[in-house]
Amino acid sequence: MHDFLLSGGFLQPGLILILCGLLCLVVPQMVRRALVLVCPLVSLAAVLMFGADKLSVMFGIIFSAISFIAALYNLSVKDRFEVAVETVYAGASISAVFASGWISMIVYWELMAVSSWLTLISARTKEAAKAGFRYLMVHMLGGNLLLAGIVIKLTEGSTLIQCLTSQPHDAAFWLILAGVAVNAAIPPLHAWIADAYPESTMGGTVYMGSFTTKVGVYFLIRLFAGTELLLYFGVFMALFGACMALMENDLRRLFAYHIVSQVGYMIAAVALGGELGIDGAAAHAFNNILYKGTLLMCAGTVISVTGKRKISQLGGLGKKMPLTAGCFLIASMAIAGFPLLNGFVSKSLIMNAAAESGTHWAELLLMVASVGTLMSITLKINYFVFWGKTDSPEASLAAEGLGVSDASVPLSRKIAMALGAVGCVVCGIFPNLVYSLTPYGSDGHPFTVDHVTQYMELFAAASFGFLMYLSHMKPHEQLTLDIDWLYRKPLKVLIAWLSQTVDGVRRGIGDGLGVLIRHGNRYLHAPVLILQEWFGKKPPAPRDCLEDDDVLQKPAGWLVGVNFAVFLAVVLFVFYNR
Amino acid sequence: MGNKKKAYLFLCIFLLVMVLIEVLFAHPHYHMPWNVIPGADILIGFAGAWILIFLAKILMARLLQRDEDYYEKGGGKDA
Repeated sequence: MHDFLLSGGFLQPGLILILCGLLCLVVPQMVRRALVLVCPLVSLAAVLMFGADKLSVMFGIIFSAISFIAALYNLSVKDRFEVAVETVYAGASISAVFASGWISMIVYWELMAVSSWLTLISARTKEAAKAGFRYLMVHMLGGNLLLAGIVIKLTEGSTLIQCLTSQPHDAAFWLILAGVAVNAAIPPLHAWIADAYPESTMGGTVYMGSFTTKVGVYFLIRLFAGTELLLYFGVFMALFGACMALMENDLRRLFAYHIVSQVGYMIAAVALGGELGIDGAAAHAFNNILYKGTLLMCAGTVISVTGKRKISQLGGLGKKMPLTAGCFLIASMAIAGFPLLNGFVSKSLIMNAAAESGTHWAELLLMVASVGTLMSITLKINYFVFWGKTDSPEASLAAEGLGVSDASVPLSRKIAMALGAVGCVVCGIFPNLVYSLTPYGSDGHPFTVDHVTQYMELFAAASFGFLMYLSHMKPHEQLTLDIDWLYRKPLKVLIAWLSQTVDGVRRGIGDGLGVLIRHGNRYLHAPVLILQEWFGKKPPAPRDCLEDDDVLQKPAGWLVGVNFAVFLAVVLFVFYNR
Repeated sequence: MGNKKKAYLFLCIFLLVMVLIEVLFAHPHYHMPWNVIPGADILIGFAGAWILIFLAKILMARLLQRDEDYYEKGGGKDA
């Protein structure tokens, strides 16, 4: 048993956070606060001490680090259930990336799905409950596809996780790929992300934005590195996410689309494969967790303080909330890929991987996607939410509202946002910190003159275009449809129609049988009636059995009928088998 | 001079400086046009911005954007 637990990868650093989360359900608030801060650090130490595989260690480090930052951000939250499920979610994610066997992978994968769903519904709103139902349905579908693929692998005698790229593209390959694609939000399986994340609590969104998709990316690197098909999906995601974000008005929905876009870069890098591609994907996931976590924390702070979540209802907050705006500015420049910030460090690896592999179309389109990121986050949000002039009376009112300042933000939240922003700067200035953690230790040579001037020219020219269209860039108070429309509208109608049809058929059959039994009953009650009716005699009026002289007549009639049927069946059986 | 004009001027000067640095000091590792032609990235950035604006704000917005109560009205409660 002990050997099974060790060889399957059940015993590993993530268990510390899972146990911590369960403890959070019962311990007093002060102990809970200490636990959620200390346990990620213990988990980090365990990752560094016991982790053998570089890719797992890299993900383990950043998952533990963001667990600490997110726990700090959420320190003022009093809901023990929310804190507990978020910590279990973090632990399950770390456990998943340390799983070495298929069984432990699916166990922690499902634990992650359930705990992330609980994290979502811990917002305790009607919208969160409805989005949570859809989230659960999508992730159960993904989990079951993965399970089916894993069962095939197990029946083939394969118990340990191994790269599938060079193996036959059989049912197991496609089922596992589809299961992982749900978590990695690969279109058309991506809509859950923009549907669910905005409905979570402020802290819950930070956890959700950091784990599920990145675990998906981890397994794509582990299982499907070099799968060419993924390149098309990755590049499409990078562009599609940026376009959706350009339209989006809801602050956290916008970031959800940017997760799709950023994961697109990672998937493109996975598809490019080789040392540069794999390192690029891992480094970008690492950096993405830092800057995306910071962006989501800042957005959560703005929403908490103003009570508004639409960009069209916000504006001019830079002077009121300079710390939040400053942290946001740094993280938003990091996500676009400004030099000296961490996004630039990992994008250099991915661009080099694309250039070296000769897929220049992908390199060019990923550059255009960077322009989209710049316009939809760095320019759009900084201008319309923080630093630009606002002409909307509602936004002015929100900015002037009582308590709209950094002073009303809990200290722990300020420290968490600042930590995230500092992380983006440190990893950007010292890229070797990230490069040394990657599986192959590739160097992206980010600070060459051609790299730096390339990005600065790209961004300055895109800013020119943004300025020219500035008056139309402000998002409208509208909702953007996505693939979830399919299961929120037509699928709902289809299921309602199917259920009504099946119900109608069931009722029809029931009614028909009822009529048959009612008529047949008369003859079973008194079989002699058949003969009387055949010979033209008028049948007597039906009698009420209970009022009758012999209440045993009907059951006896049924018994005779059944006996006759059984006898007939036996005779026919014997006759045909002579 | 308005803020917008100042921003345009700043961007123009900045781009000029970047192209100058690229011409004088850059040693491209790869040989695609955007790597070797000085200032080619300006074209990609500007054209890319307008392509994305056209795709998102004009084409996709018309196809995909609806009133905020879209899922509540008409078909009753959504799933």
